[in-house]
Amino acid sequence: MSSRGTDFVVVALLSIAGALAGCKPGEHEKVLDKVRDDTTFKGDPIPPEQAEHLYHGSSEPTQYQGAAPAPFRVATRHDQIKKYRCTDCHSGGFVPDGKRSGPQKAHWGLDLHHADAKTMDCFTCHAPDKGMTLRTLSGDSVGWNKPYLVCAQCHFQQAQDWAIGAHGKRLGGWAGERVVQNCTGCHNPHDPAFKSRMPAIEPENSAPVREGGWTHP
Amino acid sequence: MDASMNASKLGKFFGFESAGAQSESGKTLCSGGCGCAPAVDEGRRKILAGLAVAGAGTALAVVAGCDTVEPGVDSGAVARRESPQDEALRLRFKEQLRKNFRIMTDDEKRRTVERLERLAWLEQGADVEIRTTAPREGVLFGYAFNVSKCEGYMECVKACVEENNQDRATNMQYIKIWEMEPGSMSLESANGSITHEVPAEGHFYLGTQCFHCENPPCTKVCPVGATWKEKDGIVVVDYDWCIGCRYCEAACPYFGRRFNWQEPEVPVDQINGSQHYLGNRLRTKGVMEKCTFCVARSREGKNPACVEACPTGARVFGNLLDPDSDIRQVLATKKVFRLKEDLGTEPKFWYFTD
Ligand code: SF4
Ligand code: SF4
Repeated sequence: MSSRGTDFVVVALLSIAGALAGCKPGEHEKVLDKVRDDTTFKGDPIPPEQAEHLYHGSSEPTQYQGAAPAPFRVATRHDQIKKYRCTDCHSGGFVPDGKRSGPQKAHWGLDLHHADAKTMDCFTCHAPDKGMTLRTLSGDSVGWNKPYLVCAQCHFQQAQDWAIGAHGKRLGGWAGERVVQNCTGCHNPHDPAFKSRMPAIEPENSAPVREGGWTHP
Repeated sequence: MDASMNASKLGKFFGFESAGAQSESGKTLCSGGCGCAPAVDEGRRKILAGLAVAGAGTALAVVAGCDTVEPGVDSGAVARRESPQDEALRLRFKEQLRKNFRIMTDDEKRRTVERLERLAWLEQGADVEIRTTAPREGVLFGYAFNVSKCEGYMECVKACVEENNQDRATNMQYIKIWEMEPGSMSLESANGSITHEVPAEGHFYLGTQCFHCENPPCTKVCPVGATWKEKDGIVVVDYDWCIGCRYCEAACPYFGRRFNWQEPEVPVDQINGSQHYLGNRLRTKGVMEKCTFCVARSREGKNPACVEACPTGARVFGNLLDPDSDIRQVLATKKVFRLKEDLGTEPKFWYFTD
């Protein structure tokens, strides 16, 4: 074979090898590798003064850190209470025994569906003293803005997820200071489960499912 | 086709080369009729308008040639005593002759945005603001969806339709919520049209949308470079560059893209006027569109509309490059999976369970 012919074969082989290497399966860049390697992040990508517009509600720093990588803030609840102050009615200390049996003499809008009567009564979460605050199981007083301290006693797994952002909702936006919704901002503490209902999109306005199923165009 | 493609190449592709070159040289040969010459008589304008309607190439060149001479805004119908229809027509022609968004200068972006805002007003009576906010350094957007939390309420779909000005007539929706058969992870057997109360006993729900693949097959097949991945990882479409071939829709393995088979209809009182050029601005018939992670919101630091609307907190969004972000915390602590991982598309959209 002439030397030109050899060159041609070598070049051809090299380019075939190159082409094969280029489309070898598994050679795609893995986004998580890229994320781990990337050193471009240098702190808050949206300066705090520009992120101020994101959340207008009221919030305060939390005492519950859990596994959260950085301190965060929690939306307040005290300013949401409609019947306040409790002592306006409960002037002479608290009511009967706080049990769930017997006729309901007040708070008729309140239907308790949270654990069963053997496990929880009013005083599991509410302090029967003059302060009318929330309380822990051992009787420590908890402010109205910190119901998560009460919930976290039983729902510790959810509380851990909530602290890192895997449960619950972040308010405002992804940038700027991290402000998260309080437990009772989403769950009615007296009836915490989400209810079944019709979807927000009526069946007749649902987008048609593509012919041929999900995978094939 | 990539970002390095320049104006003249794209111009050649469409046969607009001479018009583009003319306006770029600054030595325009404008012969009036577009309002940039000092005195233009009414009769001549009429004739030119007539020519334009007929789609005559010369009229195109004349309109395009005026681009550099005209000061500032391309509107000003009152000054020129131009009818709204004529003005809209003139602006549409100019839009036909502009460059691909990726090679536009800031000034060209400003001009095109001004034209589009004016057109939204002239054609739909909508008062809109179209931003061109660029990706931020050190940001790569990622998304996670909690399949244990989604109850199928579809508040996300509703919020998405409203935020992104999707066609109400054909019920265009970027997000699809699937009711999954117990014990099955296959979308083939999932129910995509839910007609009963949710959540249904024993079922779980899974939402799909564009996953903003890091290695997107959809952008590679576009013959004109009308769709691409931005620096912050958002896959976008330039609606005014899209020729409607639907190659990208065929290439997407996730049913992520939606096509406008007819002129989209959004009642004027429901138009969201806070827009981004690459996102929720008003589209026309024959163009492709899709989820943009609400680029009009996310580039301002907000969460996408679906994340904000979800009543169960099943949707998590954030910066993948920030190790403290919610999305990174989910990826670090939860068991996550993506759909069709074996394809190597690297979706930046993970599913997780409690
Ligand atoms: S999900 Fe589909 S449309 Fe979205 S980036 Fe991936 S391939 Fe493209
Ligand atoms: S439909 Fe539009 S965006 Fe999609 S491949 Fe064709 S030209 Fe490109």
